[in-house]
Amino acid sequence: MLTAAQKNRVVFVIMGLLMITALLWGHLFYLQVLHPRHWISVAHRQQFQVVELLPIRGAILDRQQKPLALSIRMSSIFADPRHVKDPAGVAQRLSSVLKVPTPAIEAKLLQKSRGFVWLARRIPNQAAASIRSMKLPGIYFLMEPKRVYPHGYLASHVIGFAGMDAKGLEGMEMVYDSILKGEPGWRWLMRDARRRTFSAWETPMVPARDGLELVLTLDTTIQFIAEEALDRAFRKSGSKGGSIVVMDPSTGEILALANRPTIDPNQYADFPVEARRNRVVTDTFEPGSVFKTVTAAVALGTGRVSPTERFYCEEGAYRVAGGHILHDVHPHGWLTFKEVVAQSSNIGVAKIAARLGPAAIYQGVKAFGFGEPTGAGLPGEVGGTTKPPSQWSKLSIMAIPMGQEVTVTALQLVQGMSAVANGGLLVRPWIVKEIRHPSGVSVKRFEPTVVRRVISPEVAKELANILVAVVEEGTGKLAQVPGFRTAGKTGTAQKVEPSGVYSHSKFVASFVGFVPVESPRLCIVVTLDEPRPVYPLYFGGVVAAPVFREVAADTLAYLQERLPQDRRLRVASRSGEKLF
Amino acid sequence: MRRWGVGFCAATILLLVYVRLQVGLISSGYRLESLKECEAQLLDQRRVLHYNVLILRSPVILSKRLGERKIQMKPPRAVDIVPGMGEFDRTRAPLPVRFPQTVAPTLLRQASSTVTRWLEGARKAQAEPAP
Repeated sequence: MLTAAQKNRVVFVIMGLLMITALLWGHLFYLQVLHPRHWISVAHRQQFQVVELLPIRGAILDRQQKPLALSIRMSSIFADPRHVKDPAGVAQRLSSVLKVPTPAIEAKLLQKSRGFVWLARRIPNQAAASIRSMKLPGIYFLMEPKRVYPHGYLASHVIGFAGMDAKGLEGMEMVYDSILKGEPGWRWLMRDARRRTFSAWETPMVPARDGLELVLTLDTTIQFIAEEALDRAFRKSGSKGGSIVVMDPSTGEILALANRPTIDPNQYADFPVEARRNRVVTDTFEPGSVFKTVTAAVALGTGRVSPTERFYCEEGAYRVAGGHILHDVHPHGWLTFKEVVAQSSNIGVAKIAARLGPAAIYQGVKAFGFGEPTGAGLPGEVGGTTKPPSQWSKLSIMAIPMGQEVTVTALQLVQGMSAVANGGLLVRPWIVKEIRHPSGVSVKRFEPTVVRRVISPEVAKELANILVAVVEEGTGKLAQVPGFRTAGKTGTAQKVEPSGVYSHSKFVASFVGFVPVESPRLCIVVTLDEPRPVYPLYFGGVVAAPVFREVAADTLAYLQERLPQDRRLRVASRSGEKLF
Repeated sequence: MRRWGVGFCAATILLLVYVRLQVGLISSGYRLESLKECEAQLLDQRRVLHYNVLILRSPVILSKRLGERKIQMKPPRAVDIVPGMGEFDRTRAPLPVRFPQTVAPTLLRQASSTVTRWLEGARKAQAEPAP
């Protein structure tokens, strides 16, 4: 039997236990029922982790589907200095693998206030595996994308390059950055007490959308042929710069485009900025004698000159307005219209131009696309300069038909010559053939675009025969492609000095032509900026024409096939429409 | 009383089954995550190897290496090309000649493959992008 005091003690203890239990239950009720959100969010933050799923940047391919640019992933190593217990020891171990001085690494590991410091980015996989095996606390890895270009400098000015963060900075990488980069996704992961992650089944996930692929009109083999030939001529002539474009004159597809100096997009930062620009579209120059092709086209198109008409070329010296004397490189007497173009007589062209008049010449220049960008889709393209007749001086009537007082780009030259090659249609040069999904499904296809008819097929054919004479009998003999009828025009344009006078030591040597004449497959322009001023090694016929021959011969040998059946142009504008 | 006992046992069994499923789910989650990491690594290696193959096939690299070794190559002339040679002619029937084959004893073959596996396991190759 319990005494009253004992009973009181029992009741007191029971009451105490009940109160403690009630407090605990009450607190539990408070946490679980009244204020669950706060603790759920704490648990959520500890246990759940959002991981961004990075997309793979789309590849850039050539017309044969060979990759010109693609993305790989490489390990980057970072540290959480708060979790690094022995900074000196860790730094020493990492230094031997990363080939970075130990003090530099140690300085980063000693920043205890920071939770993230980069130690090295995009390191070789062997080094990453070696560091992983060390199992160093506080040292973590991240896979980062890296853009690589397996062909090095090949087509570097067209492709461009992407920077450290896989963002396009130049060329097609920049123009089509939004299409190539894709879209990141995300998903939830759960994390246990040891920070190991495992899939969170019931949580949503958005997969990454990889970037689309870009198929260019370039052909890697033709690009290589063109680059090698240009490189040899560039070095041999001691030029300041050089450009080459190989285009299909019927469709406008750019098969090769190269510049010198060039860059390797894998190490773009090691090259000077001026080497990065695409001179084919950004640099303008006075074209010189190659522009006589336009004058000849206008002359034949207007019917004011017949191909057999003869012109007296004043034996090489001709006094013109203002007391100036116009010279020919070689003195000529009577030349037919065809011979005037073949021998590139300035005096002959001046007399032809005087007959045509400013209006017809200007109309012809504009019809051939000069004075405005071609719209090829290459970044930085400029349109060159042409003056309307109201702004012409007394000498302009002679200068412009000879390719002075007008500036053009190399791409405009090849576009204009293509019009002669394909029977009189000005086609737009283009560089992107297709945009497609990485699985191969086409998203968008591009087609040839005819801008307008420039000359009639008959005039084009007549002009082509005249340009054949340039190669067979005239200044372009070194451009003759063995086994094929070749047409083209040479140019040796004096550059303008800063004082405003034409230089006698700085030239732009060029050749633009097409082959085979009967069924043109290739239209090629070669320009060399300031070749060594040693006579005659700065003439277009001497220094640029051989490059044309080499590239054309090797490319035709590579192609060695009949024309495909779908080569007919889809003419957007009305056919037969002549502008002059 | 018996009913209560049976009910309690059934509930316990159900609870254990549920817990087992949850544990299985989580361990599958670990396994799945590990496989995803493995897949990502293999895809990365594949991309790097593809890149290395492209470099080997690049005309730029090829000509540079040929130049370094002073190997001059010219395109063949028409007279140099013999039709049908140097190409794999798929229309041809396989040659009827049988070459003698030496077959190692089974035990020796097994030992050889085991040793090869050990050696390859110790020397784990890493796919590295070519410079």
